[in-house]
Amino acid sequence: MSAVVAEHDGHHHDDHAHGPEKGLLRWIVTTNHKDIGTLYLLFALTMFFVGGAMALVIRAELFEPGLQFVEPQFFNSMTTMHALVMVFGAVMPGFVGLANWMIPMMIGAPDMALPRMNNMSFWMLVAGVLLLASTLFMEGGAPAAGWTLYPPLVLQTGKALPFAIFSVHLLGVSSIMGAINIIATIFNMRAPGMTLMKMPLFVWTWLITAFLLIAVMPVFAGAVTMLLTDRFFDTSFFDAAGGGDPVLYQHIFWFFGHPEVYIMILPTFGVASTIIPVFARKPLFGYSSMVYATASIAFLSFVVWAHHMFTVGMPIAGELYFMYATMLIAIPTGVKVFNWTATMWKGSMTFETPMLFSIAFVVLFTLGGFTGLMMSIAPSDFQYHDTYFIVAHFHYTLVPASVFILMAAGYYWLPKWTGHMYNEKIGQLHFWLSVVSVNILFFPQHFLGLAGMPRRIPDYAVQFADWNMISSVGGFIFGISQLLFLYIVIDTIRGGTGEKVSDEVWEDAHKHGLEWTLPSPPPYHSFTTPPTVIPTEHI
Amino acid sequence: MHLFDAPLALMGGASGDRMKTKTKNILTAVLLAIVAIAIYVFAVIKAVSQ
Repeated sequence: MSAVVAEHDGHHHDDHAHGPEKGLLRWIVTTNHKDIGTLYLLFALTMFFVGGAMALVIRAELFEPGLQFVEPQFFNSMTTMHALVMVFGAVMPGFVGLANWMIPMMIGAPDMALPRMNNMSFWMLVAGVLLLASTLFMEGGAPAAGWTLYPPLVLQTGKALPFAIFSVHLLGVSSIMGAINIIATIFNMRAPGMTLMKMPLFVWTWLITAFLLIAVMPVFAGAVTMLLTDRFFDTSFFDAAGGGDPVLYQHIFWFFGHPEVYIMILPTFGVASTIIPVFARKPLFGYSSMVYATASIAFLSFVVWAHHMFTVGMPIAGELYFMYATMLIAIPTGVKVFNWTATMWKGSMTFETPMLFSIAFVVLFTLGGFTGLMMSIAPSDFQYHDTYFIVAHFHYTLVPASVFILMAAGYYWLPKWTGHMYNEKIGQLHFWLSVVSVNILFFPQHFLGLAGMPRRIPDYAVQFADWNMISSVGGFIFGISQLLFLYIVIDTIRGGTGEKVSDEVWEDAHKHGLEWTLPSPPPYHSFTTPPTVIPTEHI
Repeated sequence: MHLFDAPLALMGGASGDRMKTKTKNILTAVLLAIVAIAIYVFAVIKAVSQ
């Protein structure tokens, strides 16, 4: 049961001993969860446009066959950096920003458990991403071996390699500190009555994600440290000539890499499970099954890694095991899709922008999930491996899923954060442009992949020209339409429609979470006296 | 019952609720940091021993 209301004495206004610092210093030294959440979200939005610009370089080059705009080496740097920036600079920080803003407000806490560490996590992230971006200007160019940084190819990187590896270390430490903070907050700072099974799904999904982060980030750090010693200290972890094994790196990387995918998707599920019940005007269907499904997906993410490496030459027993284990993920994921649909079933639905993005997520993520199921079939994967089919698959699970839900969260909570209503008409225009163009962008890539177009190439055979052109047109429409979101964010912060929103913003939202019992915008310190949580069925 | 109530009780507890929560937060952070470092060391040792 996640729907709760609060009884608290109303002393949550900004009368605490200390308020925000004045000026720029406020943002540098802040330990306030809302300030740090805002910093994360603005940083993620900036990186979304930086990574998006890199994607447009890729799509411009692929608009037609032949080499048009960039050298092949730079093209490969763009595919690598686009992925790293989007994963570590945009999607993950976006969800950490939402966690910082919303988890204390959702569980009735005054702030995060470890506020100073929270500040440090954010600034380490900035340092890590800037260090990564600086490799673009180094001799030999930025890493160009793909975001997986596979040896031996990645060891041919120029001067950028140690900087990229140190950047990964910084990003990893930042993520682990953020995860520790989230776990400590959820375990130790919940309001009286907020038992684990009353927590909003967003909090649950983040709790599980935080454990995933702590479990896999050190593994990735270990892998890239071994790359570093292979390159500079004459070790041979991944060098066959010295007795090492390049495939070992792939195993270690994907032991990190597959849970990493769920690190990006589980909070997505949490936000969708938060938004859909509000606009369906029904409680979330199957709350406890959602919690168990999330935990099951997290567990399974640790035991399926080698489905990324079916073509590497595994024993048949290994291929079969990883095939069936991967297929199992469809079950808890299916539970979730069923529950979202059942939540909407016979609900009094309205279609404001957050709901539109959430519905698009359910439909398009399911499509991405189905292609995932296709790829889990080992013999079929030999056809799909390293083709544009893979690119289409994971972009369907990341763009209309994680990115759309980040947008949905923005529309959903921006009125609460700012106290102003966004422009609904422009929001809907943004949605329709995005949902149409994202399909023009990524759907043709399925056809390209099935026809055999390899990924990570700047040039291609003429037979792939038409679908690539369509995909690039979709890419540019999608990219440009995101400027509408930027406009809406700035406009809403500056006053939006001029309409002052109520505390609960959306009709009956207070039945769905503690955050709606606070004023809009909420005070600098959310709950200076803990609220008492009462299940809604007892009212 | 919170996660670290038992170890805190063994340590004689901390004075006041605020202090207790702060101690719990720090204990949680230290424990999780140790877990993260242990996983890092384990991953490297496993790779070295291949």
